[in-house]
Amino acid sequence: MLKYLYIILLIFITIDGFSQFKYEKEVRIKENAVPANARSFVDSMNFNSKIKWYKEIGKINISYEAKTKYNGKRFSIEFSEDGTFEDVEIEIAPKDIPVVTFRKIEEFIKSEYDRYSIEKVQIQYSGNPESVRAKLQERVVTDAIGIHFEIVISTKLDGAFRMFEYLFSEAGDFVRKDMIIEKSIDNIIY
Amino acid sequence: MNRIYLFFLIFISISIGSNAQSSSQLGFMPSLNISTKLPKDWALNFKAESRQALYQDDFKYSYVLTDLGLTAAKRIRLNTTIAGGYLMRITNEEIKHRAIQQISFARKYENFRLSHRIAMDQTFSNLDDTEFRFRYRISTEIPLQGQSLDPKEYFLKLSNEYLNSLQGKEYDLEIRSVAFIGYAITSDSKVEIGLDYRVDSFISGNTRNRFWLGLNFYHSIRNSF
Repeated sequence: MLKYLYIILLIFITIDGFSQFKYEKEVRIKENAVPANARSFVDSMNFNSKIKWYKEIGKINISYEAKTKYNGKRFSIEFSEDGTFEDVEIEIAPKDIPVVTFRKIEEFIKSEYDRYSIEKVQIQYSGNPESVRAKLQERVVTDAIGIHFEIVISTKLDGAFRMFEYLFSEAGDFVRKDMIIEKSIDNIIY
Repeated sequence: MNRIYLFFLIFISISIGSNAQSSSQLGFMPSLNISTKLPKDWALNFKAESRQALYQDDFKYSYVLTDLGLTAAKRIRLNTTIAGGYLMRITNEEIKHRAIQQISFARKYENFRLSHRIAMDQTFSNLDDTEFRFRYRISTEIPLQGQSLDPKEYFLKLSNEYLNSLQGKEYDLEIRSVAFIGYAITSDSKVEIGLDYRVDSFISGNTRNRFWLGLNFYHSIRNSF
């Protein structure tokens, strides 16, 4: 019996591979643990749903993120460790991207993969916090703000499903691509 | 955390209170799960599980069984995995052999993961008729410290399973409820401890309750395929 057990265990002895995440650890935190300037920016938005705060601890930096729902859309507002505003991400549908831009994005992804599915789309606003706030509150924006589209796709690569996060500019130009490393869920599968 | 203790208390109270005249078994059920990824989204999962009874209408230790199983799985869609495997069940009386087929659908939501598993198995024995089972399980993993489970964080695992069994001409339904507290040691290793409650034979009027204190260890070997 032990011989068979050894054979089975030997099958599992292989080399552990790479892993790469946007952050190492993300924890839910209370509002009073958030830098005051980050809190005041979020308060000034007058969101009518509950705000959930998270601290993201990366390899080299720490950031804070506020998540909420507003007008039926998921908002995610990111701040640096000292509470400086970084960007706002809003979950949208692919049809919310301007047609010409979306066509350009699709052409780029199709040049990389024949078949893929869009899993998630977010529009990202960055730049002067006052201008971003004005944009979100549908007021007149004086300064230029940065607009990007973050798109998560799934595709098949060498016979295996993979997920990638793309970043495109407002005009639909490719900026960045990261592979999403999926977490093990054996404990709810087997 | 107080809500979790309350949940456990209610869970145990309901389970014990529901069948005052039935037989009960209480025991310890540790398990070891090791899985490895293979090319083209294939994976192998090895499971070893043992059951030791501490109470069976009387406090007395007894060895119940050991399961050794090997499952081959293939991801056929982003959130869908099919699997087939073999399990050897070692009891004091004999060694039983079980064939397993399953399909599972797992999805990540904003604050938790949810999986549905539909499975069939056939257990072959020298002493009993072959048992055919058709089962459905819903499981959830809820991170307790953030939106997704990161290393060195705790989580709650809850599951509920319904097992239809046909052996000879006898049909039975078994219901399982699981509540575990888990800890992610690394991104690829998890440990869980909690209660696995199983009730069966209630259709025939001879209800059997089984309470297993589970201790599970999972390790996933991540290869760069």
